[in-house]
Amino acid sequence: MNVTLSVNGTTIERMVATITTLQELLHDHLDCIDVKKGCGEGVCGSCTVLIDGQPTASCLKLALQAHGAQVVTAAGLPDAEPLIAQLVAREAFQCGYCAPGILVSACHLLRQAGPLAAGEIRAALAGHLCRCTGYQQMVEAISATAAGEPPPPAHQPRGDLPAKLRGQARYPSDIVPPGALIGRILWSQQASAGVEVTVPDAARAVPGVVRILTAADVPGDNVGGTSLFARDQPLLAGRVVRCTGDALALVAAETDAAARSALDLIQVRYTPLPAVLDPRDPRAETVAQFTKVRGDAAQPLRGAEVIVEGTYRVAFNDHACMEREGGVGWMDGDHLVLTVTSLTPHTVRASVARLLGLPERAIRVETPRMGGSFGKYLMQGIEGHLALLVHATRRPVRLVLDRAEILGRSAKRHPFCGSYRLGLLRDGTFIGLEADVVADSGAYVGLTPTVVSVFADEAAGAYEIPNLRVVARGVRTHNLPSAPMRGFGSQQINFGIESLVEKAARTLGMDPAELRLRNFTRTRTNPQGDEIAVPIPLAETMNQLKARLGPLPTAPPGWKVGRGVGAVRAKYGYPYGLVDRFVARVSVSADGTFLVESDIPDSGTGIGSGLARLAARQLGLGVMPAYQVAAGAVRDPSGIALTRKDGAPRSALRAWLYGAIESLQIFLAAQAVAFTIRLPAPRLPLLMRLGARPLNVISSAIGWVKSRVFPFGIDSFVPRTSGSRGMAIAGRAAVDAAVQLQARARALAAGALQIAAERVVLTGTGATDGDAPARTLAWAELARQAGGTLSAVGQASLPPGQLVSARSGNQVGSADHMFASHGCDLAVHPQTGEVRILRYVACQDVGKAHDVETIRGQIIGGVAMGIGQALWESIPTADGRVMLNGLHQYGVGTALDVPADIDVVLLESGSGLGPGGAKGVGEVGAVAAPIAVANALFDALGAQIHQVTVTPEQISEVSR
Amino acid sequence: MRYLRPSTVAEAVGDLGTGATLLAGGTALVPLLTRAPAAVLLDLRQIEALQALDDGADGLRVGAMVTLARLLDAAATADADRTGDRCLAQAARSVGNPNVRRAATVGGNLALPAGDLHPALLVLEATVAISAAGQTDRDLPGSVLADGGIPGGALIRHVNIPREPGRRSAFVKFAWRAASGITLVSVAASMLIHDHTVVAARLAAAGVRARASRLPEAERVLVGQPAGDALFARAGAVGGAELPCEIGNSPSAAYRRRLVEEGLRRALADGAGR
Repeated sequence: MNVTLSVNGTTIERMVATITTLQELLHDHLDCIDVKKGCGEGVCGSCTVLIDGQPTASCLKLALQAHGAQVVTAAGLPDAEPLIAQLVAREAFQCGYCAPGILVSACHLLRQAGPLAAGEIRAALAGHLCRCTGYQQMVEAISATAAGEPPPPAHQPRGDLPAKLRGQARYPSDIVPPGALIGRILWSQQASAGVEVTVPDAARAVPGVVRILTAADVPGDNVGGTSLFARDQPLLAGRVVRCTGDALALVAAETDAAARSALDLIQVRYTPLPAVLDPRDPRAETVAQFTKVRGDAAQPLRGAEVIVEGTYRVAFNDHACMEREGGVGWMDGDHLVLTVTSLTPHTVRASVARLLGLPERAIRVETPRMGGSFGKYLMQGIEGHLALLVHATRRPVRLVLDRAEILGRSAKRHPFCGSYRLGLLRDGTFIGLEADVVADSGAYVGLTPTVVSVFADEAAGAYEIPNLRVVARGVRTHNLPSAPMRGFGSQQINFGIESLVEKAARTLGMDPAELRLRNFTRTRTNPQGDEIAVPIPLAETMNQLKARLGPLPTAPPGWKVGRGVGAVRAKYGYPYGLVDRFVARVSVSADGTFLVESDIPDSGTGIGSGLARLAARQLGLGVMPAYQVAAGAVRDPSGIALTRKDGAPRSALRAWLYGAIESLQIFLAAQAVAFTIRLPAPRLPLLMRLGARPLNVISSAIGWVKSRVFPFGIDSFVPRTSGSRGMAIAGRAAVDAAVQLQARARALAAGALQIAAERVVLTGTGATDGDAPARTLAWAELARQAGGTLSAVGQASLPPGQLVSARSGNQVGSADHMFASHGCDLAVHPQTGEVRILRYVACQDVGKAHDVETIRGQIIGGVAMGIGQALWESIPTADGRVMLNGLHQYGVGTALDVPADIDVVLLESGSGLGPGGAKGVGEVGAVAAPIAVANALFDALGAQIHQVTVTPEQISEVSR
Repeated sequence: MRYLRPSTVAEAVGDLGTGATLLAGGTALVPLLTRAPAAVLLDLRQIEALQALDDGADGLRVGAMVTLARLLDAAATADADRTGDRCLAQAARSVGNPNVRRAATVGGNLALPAGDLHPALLVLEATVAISAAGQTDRDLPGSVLADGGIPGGALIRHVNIPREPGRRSAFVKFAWRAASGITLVSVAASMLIHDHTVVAARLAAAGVRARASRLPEAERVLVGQPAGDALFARAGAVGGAELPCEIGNSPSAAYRRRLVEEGLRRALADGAGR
């Protein structure tokens, strides 16, 4: 039918199918990429537009229902600029996917005259979900705009935010090539079964269906998922399914309706097999095991006067990135191009090449930006499925999962179960700890060894425990595959130990904060196992926390109040493999503009702007340089070796050399992993004697080649940003690149001005003769003298991690740790299980605070996610199947749920690995918040919570 | 899918006789259409008679196509005499979120098996005016919401909420989160109190049976007794126990009953407090 409506002042007339929603008309047909679809249920608010002046969810309206309406999208708001200035200055958004929708609601609210109360603002935003920020900075920005305050000075604002707010930023799911096919996946209905997939002619004959693919149609290796440790996950399951996240068939069709019809017609015969769904089930196969021992590991509790025992669990939860997982692919000549939500374009490229039986140079993977990741996109999801459909049809294909598919079929945080015994003296001194902890890897190994190694490394939490015996395992079940999620490993293991310590405090009748202060760790061990003296400001974070929390509020009638504190020691800078070097390039072009590049895709944390800021500060620039993922790293990851800028191939010798180095490195990394997790313990010392030192020498050599010869084109299997390591380590590379650039500029200027290099003074505008300030060369001129572009590459590497297994001696475990104490006061209704957070304080050592608003946003956003994980984000399952249909059933907190005024206290120990002693900051909020909440519930109810997520019903049971 | 946009009730009723699916705000229906397309969609937005919102002498008449946001705006500006309808405004405000309430309609909510408005309309003893092909227009008692719902093939024209001087009412909902949450349990209470004594009481709950229900035993506990926290707690306990639980086990029946009990206690205290 015909629909006529006004969009941002322009009258539009289109033929649409009845089923077309207003969001689809605006986004897919009219290219209004600011009208996004995060859920299709009216919950996330990403699709909000003004319809006749009223903010409305456009995904719940048929286009035909808007016939004759005046529609205004974020890009068409006439009065948004003052608010945008406030939002940018306060860094109110991170990934920015939700931003245009929120801008629509906020501008509508601001049309009321006069100041707005925070509660009023939060109520107006209740139809939006922001997964990154916890809403606090945006409420502050809206409030300041309403009051007519000028925006706070932001000398180097995040460069990516204005375009995101104005709806000009195109995310992978925003790309709709003309004539693109719709890709859809047929998922297994059972968690463990033999399968027989039959594609009847009727399915192929559905009008609009272009291709249907099953396991038999995979031209190369049928391997999906993330295969760094094990290639155990099929891209398309052919004979056996191991979880309900297994894909059985793919459909590409002209319309979504045709694709769905074809899926319904594909026949699958299941022969049920036994399913292992609990990681404690003895039938669950161990796929990774790490041990950590210290002191008297045989009898760690010997001499204890009190023994406290407990078993604690962390359940599934979902990353719930606001942009739906997926992307688009097409053929560009002979190149297959994918634009997807991924943090590891290199890995995607390599695995897609294997999958299709093509050389890597035939594939390009682009990751311009994405609407959140929170660790999820370290794992591969649908990239291979998308590539297969593009390869088979030679046409553009869009494959973006529905929210129900994301919740029901894609990877989740590793579930955890830890059984503990802690020995103490009566005065509260910790003597020893026995811990038997297990991660549910789900159906496939994925990155589970990484997560389990963190369990072993951090099992003692923030405490000095002289005698330790920790056994950490990852096991395979028939649940959905597990993926790293914000604070991976640290989040689960800190919850375990902090629950145990809380129980110990209550058993001994001690103040929980005092017991912690008495036992905080004061030492750190280096990779050789020697204790080294570095500042560990745990006590300071706890003391500041106590001071900030103040008196406990009184309970409303019928409610109980409680206070919980938690202290965490959580990894950042997790090292991968033997060579783990970060590279950044800073360049200035002949028009005087600066560019900062690295090989880190920005999932929305602001890492790109962070790197640009550090370089700008080193160079004294007044204008923020742009940031981009280096073309060599993303467009053509191996391109520096294999292709020139114009795409022409380089010499066969270089291609061979590149391939050889990369293969060697992957082989060595695999050996390192094999040493650690695969071999029985008694054989390890021998292997280490034979292999450890040669490996280290080789790895150093490879590291040199990587940074000097192939700055962005090697170690492609390594996730660059992961576990809060990107900013801390790549930040040093960015500063180094700026320093190198200054050195080159100094040399160039000295020659041009014919003076000694020492006399050259470098500033943000260029080079000056220190003795004759009138003689200057602008940066643009320096670039021209260098042949058009002056650039320099900087590098930084991650120090080796701590010993985890005394036997294997491998460098696993984190290079450094973050320290924080969080606390909250809450009220809980014992009968209904309702919880209201009354006050929340986060006190964290960030090493050095380079960008306070960025750090605040990361910590508050992490806390919001952690509280959600503790209280709202439960995922019911039955027979290995997730029983959720959408975001309306999954409790990501709204602005009315997340506590207002989360109090963030930053300490600067200066001891981090990053520039100026900075540390990674992004994860601790999510690690510490579930602990603070669970311990506050313990305090209020007098009974312990043994598992998060805890539902209101479970809370009401605990208190009965 | 055919799409029709009738401009009168008569026209719509005629089309409805052919088995068409009614489309009001679309907030509940549109997401389902992908999976379950309708043969014919009947968009009611152009029928002016369904948009009326009249605060008349014999009651508040709300057209089926009045959005929940409009209902809330009207409640915010209503005179003090109308505060007896407060539970209806509270129920409307509990639906979805602001961006959904600007599209979701009263009629659409009534057509759901157990919408959030249902307990409120039950305790306000609202009537529902319907039209159906080949039948004369008629008013159904609000209790139809508890007993089988709006008949198939009928078009809701409006609901009428009778005036009742001195009425106090309140609504309480338990959901997973503060907005956009699925309702676990919702309850509404309406009372007349003279000289600190409850002289009339109507209570209803949704989220226990498949449809919302009145709670006659708990109502009997209240009538003739002095209003106060002890009485409200007693009524809550009786109300929580009196319905057979027909909804699945997640969350459990026992927990749903606890929510009804506590919800009634809060709604009664809230209502009595005004």
